[in-house]
Amino acid sequence: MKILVADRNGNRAAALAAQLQAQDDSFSISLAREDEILLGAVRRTEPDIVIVDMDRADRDGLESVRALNVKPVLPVIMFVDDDDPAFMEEAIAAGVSSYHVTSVDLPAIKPILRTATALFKRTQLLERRLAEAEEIIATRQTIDAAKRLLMTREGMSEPAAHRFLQRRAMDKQKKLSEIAAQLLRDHDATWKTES
Amino acid sequence: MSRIIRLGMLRLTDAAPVLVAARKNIFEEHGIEVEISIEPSWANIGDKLGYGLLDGAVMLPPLAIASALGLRGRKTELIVPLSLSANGNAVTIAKRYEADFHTQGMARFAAGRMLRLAVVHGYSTQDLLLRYWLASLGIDPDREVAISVIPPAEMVGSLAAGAIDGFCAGAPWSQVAAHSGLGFTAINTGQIWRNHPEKCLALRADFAAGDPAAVRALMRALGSAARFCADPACREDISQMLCVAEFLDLPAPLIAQSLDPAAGGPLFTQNYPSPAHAAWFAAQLLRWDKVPSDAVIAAAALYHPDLFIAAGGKSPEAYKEIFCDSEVSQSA
Repeated sequence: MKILVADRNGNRAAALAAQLQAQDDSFSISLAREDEILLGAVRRTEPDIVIVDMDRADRDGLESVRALNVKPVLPVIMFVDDDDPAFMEEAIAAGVSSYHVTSVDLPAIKPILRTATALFKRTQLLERRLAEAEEIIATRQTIDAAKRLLMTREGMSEPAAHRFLQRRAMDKQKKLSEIAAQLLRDHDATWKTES
Repeated sequence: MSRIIRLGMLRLTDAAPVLVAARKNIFEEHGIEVEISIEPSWANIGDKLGYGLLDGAVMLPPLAIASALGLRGRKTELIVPLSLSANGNAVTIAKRYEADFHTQGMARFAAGRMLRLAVVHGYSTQDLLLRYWLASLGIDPDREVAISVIPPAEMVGSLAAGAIDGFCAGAPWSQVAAHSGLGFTAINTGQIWRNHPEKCLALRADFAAGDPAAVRALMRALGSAARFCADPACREDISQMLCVAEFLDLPAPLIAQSLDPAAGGPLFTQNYPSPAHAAWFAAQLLRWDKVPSDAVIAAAALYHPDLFIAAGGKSPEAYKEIFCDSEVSQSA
């Protein structure tokens, strides 16, 4: 079975290709080239299945293969799984959408889709964790900068600067990081008007 | 209050009423909460409607028909209670052909050239109106031109790269092509079929049946937003809402220009969901062998003037449909 993976996220595409290959080494897997339009990739590789990320605007081109060719030169491509909407919904929510040729059996498709879905979910989770970690780092940096400002400007010690920020956060019922950011913005504004 | 209504749309000038209703709190004023989802492709709109991830969408009528008939993706029960816009597309041709086009006329100019023309979807008003126009000039759209599908936002780039000779797409893309000197407007689709229905509001039938009050509120809110969009005095305001990076990401003056119905822009005041219009689209799909023969009756049944009237809309007086090659009397 020939599978085309058309995902503009190159790492995800490579990971998916590797997993599919590990699943069945009779699969012939090709990747759409970067900047290659979907329809072009389909023409080039003549796949049985296309796995495509949902965010591709050129998905419409693939969709119209049937509509624009009365006698299709390309395989007729259909959406999978009329009998299992929950599964497809999951796949779509995970950001993967799949088309397959009507002649391919449904049981042959499901494991592939499951793999794709699981992978998309994992990358999503990783991306979310990364974003969270980045936010934590940014928050800490803001608080540290505010403390340094208090230490140089007001001559406070580090613990005093920390207590100052904490007290103000409690008074104003805001997060420590918000108070720190506000302090930095105010300082910035004063500095700008003074200079 | 009903649950949040999820509406999908693409980055196009004629999605303005939905965006305006959201930005100006018109949905809220009508007691509904609407979440807009800006999608990258019509395929996404179709799929998300099909799997219940959207309740409704700003939709191409032919695509609504194809989705409801199960001709693309999952068969999806839909209803169309409202037409959102009329006109608004144009056929743009590469600038280098402008002199030939004007001296020879389209029929002679296109003869033997096998022009490469792009439309936005295989089931689109753009495709059907382009085909209607070509056929009216004696050009066989299946054999004498090569029609391909390209996303609207990529039309101008494809024209610049020489990958296509022309395209038929909604505003503002023909304006962008003209503005950048890459193409010229050969014809506005409103000249192919005067005041032709363009985008419609398509809703999942189960959503509409489950919350008729929310549907009425939604229709009234969109009607109110459409009146705002139709006011020339509001064009600048609207173009400011549409020009932002997460939507059209284009200069506001260009968008304001694309909102002018006199210059081929969308008309927002023609909202009656006419079953005759659905039947016309289905008949054209049938003409080009894109749907089975029972599609015409099925398509007309998707349109719900009853809901339009129930939400306070008026049915139009008897009128004439005027095409580039004929006139047909209609009794609404």
